[in-house]
Amino acid sequence: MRDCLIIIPTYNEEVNIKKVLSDIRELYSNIDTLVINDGSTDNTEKVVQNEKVMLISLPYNLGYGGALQTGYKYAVLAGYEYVIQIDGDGQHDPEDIRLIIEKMQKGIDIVIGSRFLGRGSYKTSFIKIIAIRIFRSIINISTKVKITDPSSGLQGLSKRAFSYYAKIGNFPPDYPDADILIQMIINGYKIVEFPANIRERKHGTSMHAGLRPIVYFFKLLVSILIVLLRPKSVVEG
Amino acid sequence: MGLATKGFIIVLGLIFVGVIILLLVKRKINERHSLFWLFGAIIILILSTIPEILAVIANLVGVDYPPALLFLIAILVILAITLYQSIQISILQERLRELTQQIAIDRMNNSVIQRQKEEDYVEQ
Repeated sequence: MRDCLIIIPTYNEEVNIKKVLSDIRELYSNIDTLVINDGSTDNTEKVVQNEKVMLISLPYNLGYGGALQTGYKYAVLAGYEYVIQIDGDGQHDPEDIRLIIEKMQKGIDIVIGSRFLGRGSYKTSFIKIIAIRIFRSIINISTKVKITDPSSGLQGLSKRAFSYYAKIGNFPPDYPDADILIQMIINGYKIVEFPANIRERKHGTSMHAGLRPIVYFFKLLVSILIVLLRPKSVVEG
Repeated sequence: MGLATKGFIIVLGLIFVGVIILLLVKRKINERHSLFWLFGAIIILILSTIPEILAVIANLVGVDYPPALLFLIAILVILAITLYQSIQISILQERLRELTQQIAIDRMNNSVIQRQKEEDYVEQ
């Protein structure tokens, strides 16, 4: 599996990242792993340096999307065929990576591990569920495709998909969500979901907290609207 | 408009133009950006030396109180400049992100090459 790259964006995950990396190494010793340290202020960088994985350290915090895009850029430069992204907090089950690879080998461009399709324990707030429902319906109405978890951090991307994301301006810098998925579906990329096995977060709090979700909600609405207004771009490959 | 008011506005306009030219000389602002501000200053100077222009335009668009039109124009110009700056900031952020990512990737690649070199050296 030398043509496959696992990327793990991390921000202040000194407690969780070691376990995530050892779990992955146990299962997939022959897959390259790249950790992107997104300007962590704790010891994440040191912890990862002691592991046998590649490490890109960003000089300051770029945001989740910016960190992911760094990984896509590296994957393009190094010539990988598939990218699998997984969160650094241990909520995703590395076993699912195998499933993602199988699906991608069948020619799927974007494989999403959904938190809402059964298996595992994923609990979230009532308001968040309503927001997610709204975005689900927007995706469904605008593209006729059913996606239950557009903001999932567990995804597999084909070369065609991550090469597109890697280009300047093509990927949302903060949180990639329904907006970018709608754009990808409109542009003809094949997307499927599978039920991801979600484990309880071991330490730390979620990225979305406080008053931010409200701002986030409206920002996402605007960016979806813009995606729908933007002319269809030509996809090569 | 009284002579004192007129003189006051002209002096203000001239100071403004002077400051922009000073900034240009000191390379604190680039020529492209200075154009907006110089343009704005010149409009202020023209309108204050020949206030009749304002009265004519105000009459044309149906504004009863000509100075109010001056405020409207001034606000619109400032709005346009802020919008232009927002666009510039967005472009700069995008480019900064791109550069940051490239540098981070290059840095990792360099350290890999460096380590390789050191290993080769030890083997020799």
